[in-house]
Amino acid sequence: MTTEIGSPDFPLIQAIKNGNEKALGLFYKDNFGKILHLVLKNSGSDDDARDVYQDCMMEVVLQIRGGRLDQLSSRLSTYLYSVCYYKWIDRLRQKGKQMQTGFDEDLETAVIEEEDDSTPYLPALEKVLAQIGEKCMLLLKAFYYEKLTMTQIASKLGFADENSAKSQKNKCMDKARFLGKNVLKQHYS
Amino acid sequence: MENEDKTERIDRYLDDMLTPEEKIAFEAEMAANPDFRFEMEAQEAVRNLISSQAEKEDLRRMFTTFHHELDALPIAADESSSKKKKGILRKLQWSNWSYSAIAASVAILIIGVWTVWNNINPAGNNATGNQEIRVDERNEVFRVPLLSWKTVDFKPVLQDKQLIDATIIRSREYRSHYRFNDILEIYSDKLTEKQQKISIAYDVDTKQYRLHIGNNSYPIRKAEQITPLTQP
Repeated sequence: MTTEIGSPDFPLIQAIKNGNEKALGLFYKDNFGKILHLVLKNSGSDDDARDVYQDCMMEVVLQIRGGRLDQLSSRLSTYLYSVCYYKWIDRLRQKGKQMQTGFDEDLETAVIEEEDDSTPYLPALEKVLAQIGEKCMLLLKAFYYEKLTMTQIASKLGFADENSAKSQKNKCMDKARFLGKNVLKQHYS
Repeated sequence: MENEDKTERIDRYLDDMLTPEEKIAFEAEMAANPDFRFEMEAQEAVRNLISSQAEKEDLRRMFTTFHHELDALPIAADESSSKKKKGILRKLQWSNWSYSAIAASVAILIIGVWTVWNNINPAGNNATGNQEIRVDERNEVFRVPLLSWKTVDFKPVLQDKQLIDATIIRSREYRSHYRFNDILEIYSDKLTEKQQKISIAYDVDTKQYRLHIGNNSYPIRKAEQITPLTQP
């Protein structure tokens, strides 16, 4: 199996990008040991290792899905290790501790920084969105993320019919939009 | 009803589903009414945030499943051990794992040496012409990834990953050859395990194996006999 793409893990990256759960599972399981070792050697526990690993795995998977690692020149596992390494350094720093052992192999690779600047109002929006209630969140998630039809939503969330599901969905979005508009106005004023 | 229309109208704009006339009217309204522009931007931000949160929740759920599967792999020998000693238990498992790995390596080493011995001395004869020298005995058997790929929508998708035992053999007779069965033997003058990345790719569709050594790749097949490594 050959590819013309430069990344040594191009097929793996594409598989994860395409939502191949098996590929992601293998990648997850193959790399946890190294991070566990790193964290245990540097003042952390098993739980710390799992937490930091899942956070950096999340970051890497979202970068893959966003197409930002299509041209990755290092191995994906090396990249993941770097992201976890820097994340763990940050957490140690927050606790006032320092890293005792660093990169032991030729693992160092450039890490893509998260682009938080594009939506600086996100934390505030997240906070106000909690006000629309759990049922509204479920409804909007079913419609906008899961892309379910109104009939499916009515059946899943217990509405009488698709019309009442649709009406409720619109009311939920009206409320969310009103709250979001205030956040944006405050941000831009 | 008015609000229902607004939500759906903004959705249609964001999904690029408005007719050209509707789109012009929509954009004219945004230009004339900054509040309406804020509403459009807010709805877009809410949609994005909900999708992003949902995507993260899905991934978290997946990671939790993977982690449970991972935890289930090295089943603790003593289930009655207190959970308070989780850290110690983990270390114990890791050390057990290391011992197991060493034990497995030794077992493979013995099998390997026995195989070589049989090759050198078939039926007790000293046929020295075929003599082989194994590379540094401590690293003699190592593991290489065997990745199975399938082409889905014109893209290679990883189906399975295993590790198989491999060994590098210095031989007077075979200088760029292989033998591939349950174990991969590479006959080479210069190659060492650390020198270049070695892996095997199996194409599920064509049922063909390829051996990757560094930047080179060679078609290989499972067979008893020692075969030359050649690039087509």
